[in-house]
Amino acid sequence: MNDICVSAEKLSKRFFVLKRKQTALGVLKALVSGEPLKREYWVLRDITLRIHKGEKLAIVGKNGSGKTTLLRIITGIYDRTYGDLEVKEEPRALFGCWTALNADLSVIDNIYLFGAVHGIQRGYLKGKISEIMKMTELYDLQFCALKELSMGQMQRLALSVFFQIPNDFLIFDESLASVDQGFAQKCEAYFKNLASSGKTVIMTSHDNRFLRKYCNKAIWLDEGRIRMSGQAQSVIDEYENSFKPGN
Amino acid sequence: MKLGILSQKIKTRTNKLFKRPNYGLLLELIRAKFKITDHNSVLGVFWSLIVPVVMFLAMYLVFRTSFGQGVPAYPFYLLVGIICVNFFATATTYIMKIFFLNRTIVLNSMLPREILILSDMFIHTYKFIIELILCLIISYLYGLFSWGAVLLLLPLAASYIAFILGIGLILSLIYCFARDIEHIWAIASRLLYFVTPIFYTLDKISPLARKIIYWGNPLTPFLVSFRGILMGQNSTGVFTYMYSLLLGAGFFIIGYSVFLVLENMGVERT
Repeated sequence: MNDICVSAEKLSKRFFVLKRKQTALGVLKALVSGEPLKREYWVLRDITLRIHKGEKLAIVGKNGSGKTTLLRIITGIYDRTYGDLEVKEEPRALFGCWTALNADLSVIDNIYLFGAVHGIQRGYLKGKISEIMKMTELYDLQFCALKELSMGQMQRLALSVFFQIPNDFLIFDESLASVDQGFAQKCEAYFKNLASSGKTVIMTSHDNRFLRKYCNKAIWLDEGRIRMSGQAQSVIDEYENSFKPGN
Repeated sequence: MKLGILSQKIKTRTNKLFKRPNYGLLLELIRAKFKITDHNSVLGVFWSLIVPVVMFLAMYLVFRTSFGQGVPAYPFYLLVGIICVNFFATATTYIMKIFFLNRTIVLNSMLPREILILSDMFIHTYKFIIELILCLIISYLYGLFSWGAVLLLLPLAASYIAFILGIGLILSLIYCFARDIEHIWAIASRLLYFVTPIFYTLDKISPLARKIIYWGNPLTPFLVSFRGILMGQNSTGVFTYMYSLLLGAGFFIIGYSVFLVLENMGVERT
């Protein structure tokens, strides 16, 4: 199938976590008794999914359900433990707005650095600086050190740079949490455009209203397994219902 | 991992590394590091030059009578030794912690991770090159300078950088699995000043110690070659020079291969 962007078959990911508090004595005891210090912890189990080109996929699930791990495997940051994965288009992912920002560098230097880490070249960004500054409303602060900005302003900056990425496959992992109302409106305009574009998008968020609005497909991850997948509306409804008393 | 798969991985990765966005990223990281290194420091880059000078003065005062007798241009001999070993010790110590210090970037972006190491290495290399230029000036003042030496110096310096990169790549992974390496490496770095012929010459130690220090400590051939070139000691020979070049290439290939095989496992543990 040529229109498939991501194909995963029985994808599983295992980490090893400490069984108990690690102390020198504990390590010594474990060495003498031969008892392992760590135990297996399966974050993802048998994930099978296909994401078609142009699809807007929401991933919902409680904290620790494996959403970020799945995205890190798709982007190649983590290796899978078992299963097959084929990613036909190189994604660009925004995992956290503070990735690659440097407190001592100026706002303008951070734009280039953040852009470079996310695959955007200086030459391309140069032409977008005024657009970014307009979006962030940081015109007067562009030569200030980043540490002089508030956390909200830094998040604006990161998002405004990331929005310039021209790639056809984008991933947003909890990227819009806690943006102020004014900037949220600008983000809505960006995501509205994105939703009507042919780009492939994967989003995770705890804002279900947002996911319903901009995604057409969804998967619900529960303790590392896909509990439900299908149309965004029905999957998210079902996920929300699971929190109602009696479920 | 089979050798064929590994060589394919190295090829794919190096191709990716030299693609324009990654090349641009390397430049941005270097630019950022230049701006923040020695940030808020009055003497800035001079601090990194002051360290070898202070060490040189201390060692010269202590060892000149016991080990410096009969060594031509002993102050220069000592300085070259300090500069080379200091470069190795400083660069490897910084590179070792690179993934830990850049944890958010490593876990949240798709950049080829060795770019972080390369950008850090660039800063140390830049300082090393300044020190080498100073050495060439001193060499000229001693009447030991030749243009042929400069030609020989370039491949040797490149090989030394590759050698340090190879060791750094492995250390950066070990640090992800066991932080103890930081303490072990701190001890090893201090020991290097004694088990490398910095303030003494190889002919002043026993034949057995000489063999151990030459063949057991990979820094020794580099040091002998650097001195051979900068001090016009032709007696050091082609063999040591070629051996140094091989060591650099060998350590780099091994280090990079190990890195490519284990990087994701290491990163998960940062």
